[in-house]
Amino acid sequence: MIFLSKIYVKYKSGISDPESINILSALDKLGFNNAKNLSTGKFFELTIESKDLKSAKNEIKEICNQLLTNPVIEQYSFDVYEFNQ
Amino acid sequence: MKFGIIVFPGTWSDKDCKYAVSDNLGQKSKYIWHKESDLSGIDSIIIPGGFSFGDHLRVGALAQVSPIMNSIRDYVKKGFPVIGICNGFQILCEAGILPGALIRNKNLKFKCKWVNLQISNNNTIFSSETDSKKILKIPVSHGEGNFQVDPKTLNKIENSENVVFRYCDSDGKINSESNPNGSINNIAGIMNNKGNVLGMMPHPERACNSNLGSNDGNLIFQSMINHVNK
Repeated sequence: MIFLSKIYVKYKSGISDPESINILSALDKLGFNNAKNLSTGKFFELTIESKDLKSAKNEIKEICNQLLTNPVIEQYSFDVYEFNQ
Repeated sequence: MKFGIIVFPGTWSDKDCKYAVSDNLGQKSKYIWHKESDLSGIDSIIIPGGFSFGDHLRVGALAQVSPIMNSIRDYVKKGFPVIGICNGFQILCEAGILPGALIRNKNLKFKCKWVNLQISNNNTIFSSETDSKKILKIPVSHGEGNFQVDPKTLNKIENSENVVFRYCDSDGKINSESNPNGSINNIAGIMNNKGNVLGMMPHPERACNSNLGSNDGNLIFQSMINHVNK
């Protein structure tokens, strides 16, 4: 079976992200004073072949832990869908 | 002694490092391509600066899966000295050989300038030739040199005196004005617990001759040479 995964990566709380701080400050300058918090991050779409949903999720976790994220500074979440080509 | 200088696609300071240790300090050296794995006969390794694999994904992230990195992990376990400079430091962190990570500079600017370094620990393989009171003048050249680490690991690094260099002003004072990138505790260079791996953002190879503006970088390479020749 082919699965499509959408993977979201952002800095862990406690890691000061200078890019987010500067974007938030720019929003403030534009008058969007209601904007209080902002996180930047990365988005990946990955298709993966696997025997079932559980195995697909396990492999995606491994991929995230070993390469797509740096666990020292980043956290991730993902959604997985059965992919019908 | 013989230095091994690791070269990844996108490495750019390899020739400067060779100049610093061979032309300048008279030591043997050899470029080692990242797909190689043989480190026999190499007394010490330099992982130079640059943009390995175009900094894709994260700085150092793709280099850490190159074949040479498994050999470097074994080499480190055996106790040989390894210095990672700039992108080399980022690679060592991504590989888990050094703690922490390097993220975008606080003001989002690429910084290419001379900095002053306070020697926090001169009792190491990499700093034994320095005087703890001396302020080193060495340039930085990076966009992602902002060293970050979780509070628990930071305590461990500080308590075990694994911080070797900190950004300071010309009087040796540690303050935010002298910190070029926002690194926590002004950290510019750290070593592993065993003390045989140093990662630093400033470029000692670009401060190896007074014609370049400083020769303070020689003290770091000379410390390594003296350690190997002991």
